[in-house]
Amino acid sequence: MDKEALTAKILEVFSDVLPEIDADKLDLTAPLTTTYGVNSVSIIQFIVGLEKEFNIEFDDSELALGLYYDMNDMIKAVQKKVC
Amino acid sequence: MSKKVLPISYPMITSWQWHATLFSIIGDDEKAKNWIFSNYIQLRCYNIEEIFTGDEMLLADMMPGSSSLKECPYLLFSLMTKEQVESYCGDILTFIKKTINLGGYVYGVFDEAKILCDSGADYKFPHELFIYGYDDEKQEFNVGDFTFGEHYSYSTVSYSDVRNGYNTITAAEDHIFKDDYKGRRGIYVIQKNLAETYYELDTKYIKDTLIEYLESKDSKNHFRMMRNRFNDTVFGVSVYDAVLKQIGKQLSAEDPDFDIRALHILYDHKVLMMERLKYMMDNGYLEFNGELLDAYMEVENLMLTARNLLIKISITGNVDCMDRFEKYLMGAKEKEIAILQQVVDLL
Repeated sequence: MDKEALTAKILEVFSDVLPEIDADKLDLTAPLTTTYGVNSVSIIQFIVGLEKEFNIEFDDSELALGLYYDMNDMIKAVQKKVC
Repeated sequence: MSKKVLPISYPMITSWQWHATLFSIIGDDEKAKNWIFSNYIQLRCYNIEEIFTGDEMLLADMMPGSSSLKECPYLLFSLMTKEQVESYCGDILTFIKKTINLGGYVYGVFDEAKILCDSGADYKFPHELFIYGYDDEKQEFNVGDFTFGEHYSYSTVSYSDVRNGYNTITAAEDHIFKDDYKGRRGIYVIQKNLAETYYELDTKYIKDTLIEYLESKDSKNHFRMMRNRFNDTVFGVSVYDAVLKQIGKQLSAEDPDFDIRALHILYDHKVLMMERLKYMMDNGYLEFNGELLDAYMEVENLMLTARNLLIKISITGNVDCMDRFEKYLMGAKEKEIAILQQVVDLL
């Protein structure tokens, strides 16, 4: 899967978790917490959605909100697991 | 038309509304850190009946808990009964705005069901609301709360919702008043009291409390001069075991519903301990020891992983990972005991 398709799928999952956010207009470099209100619970909901979507698994230590400053960080994390 | 917003900063720890409020007001102040880092070392927990659901819950907290708003020497605390508010100002909105104009933050129980969704809600959700600003043009207050997001956040609430939320709550439902001032309803007015150093960092007290924490000693006797009605049954590192036991009980239910709140307080306790150690090293109360800080960071990370894994289990329902949860939680306990014993020896 190329990066563009992967990003589109990740944003789709993000929209399921936070439907109030327009994923089409999402800034991939904006801080997830302050810009989009992602918190310690919604980041894990997002990760669980990604695990299902891509049939991947995040380590327990990778559930921390602090590891994902922006959406690009999450895209990189998923990329490493699907490749 | 006027507007005023008092200074706040996002709190280092949240967990409970009283901690989030105190840390929002003075958490960044250098003088207040002397008091903050001398306290919040001991942990305690006990079972209570949940206010909203009536279910049994394990209430875990640090010491001090909600009394910190009254007792912190860097806050000037006033208690206002509903009768006083009405006598002085006629209504709650005027009282809150006048209080803010004088530099006072407001904290009290409001019916947040009215604020949250529909004013015609046929249920009540009494919860503490922290108010730190107002805007007459927008007809709204600036507030801090857990209710309006899934985490502690600052937002705004309309004047009419605050008025309704205040007027709806009876004395019997005002849980911050009813424990100590039964039959009365009211609010707290909190001002900063930072002009002087009123409390020095107390290394003796830190050491003594660390020992009580490590030995799971009952700390409530320190407060008997002021109060002697206590519910606390478990103290110190034994709180880890009580939390694990409680989660085990929840796990054995047909449809497990895990209460994460105790895990949040345990994690915040580690965050604050880490900041305490850094502060003490930066200010010459402890010799700098990078290895000790790195080791404590492992404790903090283990606790964070335990909390996050329990959140994940709550979402997925996959309880097969519970053994890993236990490993992280008890690993944090074991490592923390070893490191804090070292700190006690150094003090």
